[in-house]
Amino acid sequence: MRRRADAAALALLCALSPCCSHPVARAFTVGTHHVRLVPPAEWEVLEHDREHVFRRGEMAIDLVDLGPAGAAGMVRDLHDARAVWMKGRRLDAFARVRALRGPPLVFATSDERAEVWREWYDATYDPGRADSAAIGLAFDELGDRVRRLRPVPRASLVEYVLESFPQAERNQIEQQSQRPVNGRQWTEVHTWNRISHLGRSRIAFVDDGGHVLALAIDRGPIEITGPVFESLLGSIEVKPDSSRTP
Amino acid sequence: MACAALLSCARESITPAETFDWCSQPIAFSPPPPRWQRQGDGGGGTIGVRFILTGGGGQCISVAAFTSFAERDRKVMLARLIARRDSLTQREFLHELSLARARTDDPLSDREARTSLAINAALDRATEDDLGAQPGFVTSDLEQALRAAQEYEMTLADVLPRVRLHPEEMQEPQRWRIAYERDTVIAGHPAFASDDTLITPERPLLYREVFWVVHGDAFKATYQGTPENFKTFVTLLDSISFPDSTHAAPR
Repeated sequence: MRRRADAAALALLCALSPCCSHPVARAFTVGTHHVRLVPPAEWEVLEHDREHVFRRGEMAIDLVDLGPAGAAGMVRDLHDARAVWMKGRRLDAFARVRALRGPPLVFATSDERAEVWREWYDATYDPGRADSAAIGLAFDELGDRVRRLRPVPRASLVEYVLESFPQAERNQIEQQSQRPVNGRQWTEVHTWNRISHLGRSRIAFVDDGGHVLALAIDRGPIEITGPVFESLLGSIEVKPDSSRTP
Repeated sequence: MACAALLSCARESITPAETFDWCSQPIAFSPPPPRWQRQGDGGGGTIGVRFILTGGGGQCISVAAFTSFAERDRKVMLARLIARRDSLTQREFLHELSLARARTDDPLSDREARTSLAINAALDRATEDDLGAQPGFVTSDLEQALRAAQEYEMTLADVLPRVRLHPEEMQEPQRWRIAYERDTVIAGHPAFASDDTLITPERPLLYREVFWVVHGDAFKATYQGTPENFKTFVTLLDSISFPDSTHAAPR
């Protein structure tokens, strides 16, 4: 009896003791992506829909849904906007269309961009008076024109991702590589200050069903944030085609 | 103990080489050990990096490129203008033409002055031909401007009088003692070295400067410190190499 009580006390002590605790993976929804990852111990997690921030003091690492990676993702966003319109929320739908962005549009020439939007704005320049039949056709036409945009090379996609992070934009790429993480092919970019090679930072991103999910060091010395970034990246499981799941 | 100290010293002296893209000609070298704290260094027409010895009382090593001279080179600008010409409106093209002009004030040498005049004359013709709706002539004018730019490449002799130490131009001229000057070699390229002294309130410090030019881009390395740490500077100089310019990172 005494031995059993000791064993129970030991088990309870072990369960409460930090040395016996194991890091636990948690599920997060980042924009359109559904992921599981192990948050770093003693770092707080701020869940802001499309942007989750892992923060400790002045150090921060961001996990961000950067939106479409190519034309397919942009067309999917247009379908979502159309679904909103079909529910009768015309202005919300138009706002979603106006917010449409993606690498093929960013790297298109100004003439190509104007051509993409021409039919849409011809039909919807006055949202209150726009005819519903014309709006439906404009959605179709906009989708077709987006599909016809030239796909961007990988180097341009890297540039697009870096430009999404102001702290990385002024830096130079030190090295970049592809690495598999839990069944997904991530692109990892190490950056540093062009002049001094100080201010090292890291960004990794994956094309998840046409949308970009990116993990980036926002603030903090690389000596501390680097290993935390590495453990976060190593633990991220992105659900298959998670960006397709509503 | 002595063996461990020697090993640690040997380990400290070798750091991986890093490639810096301060101008069109990249430069690679092994930075000093971490006890030399790194800082970005800009100003005075240069961009580079400075390594300050922690607790060294002002001892530092710097390596820098003279970007002010690199900006005088019109080759890249003209080649890009030729490549982009078809995608520019006339207004944009004329604006780009004006930006591509070479500096004619304060030339580094007679050769550079002649080159600048030749480039600008060709660009003047390109402007006239563009306004005269003669696109074929414009192409020829731009190519002439590029050829003129390619015929000149800045040399060490061109820049040396401008960049070497002139104590009378320093804030406290009495602190500098000019000693020896010599020709040397950095990674197979001719270089000029000066072995001077800087008199500080605490102690005199060696003040060594080395200047060289590679493919038209000018660089300098400076050492300000005690004789004991001079070998760190020598190790850095020995590690310098010039990777192919295609190595330059895109950002």
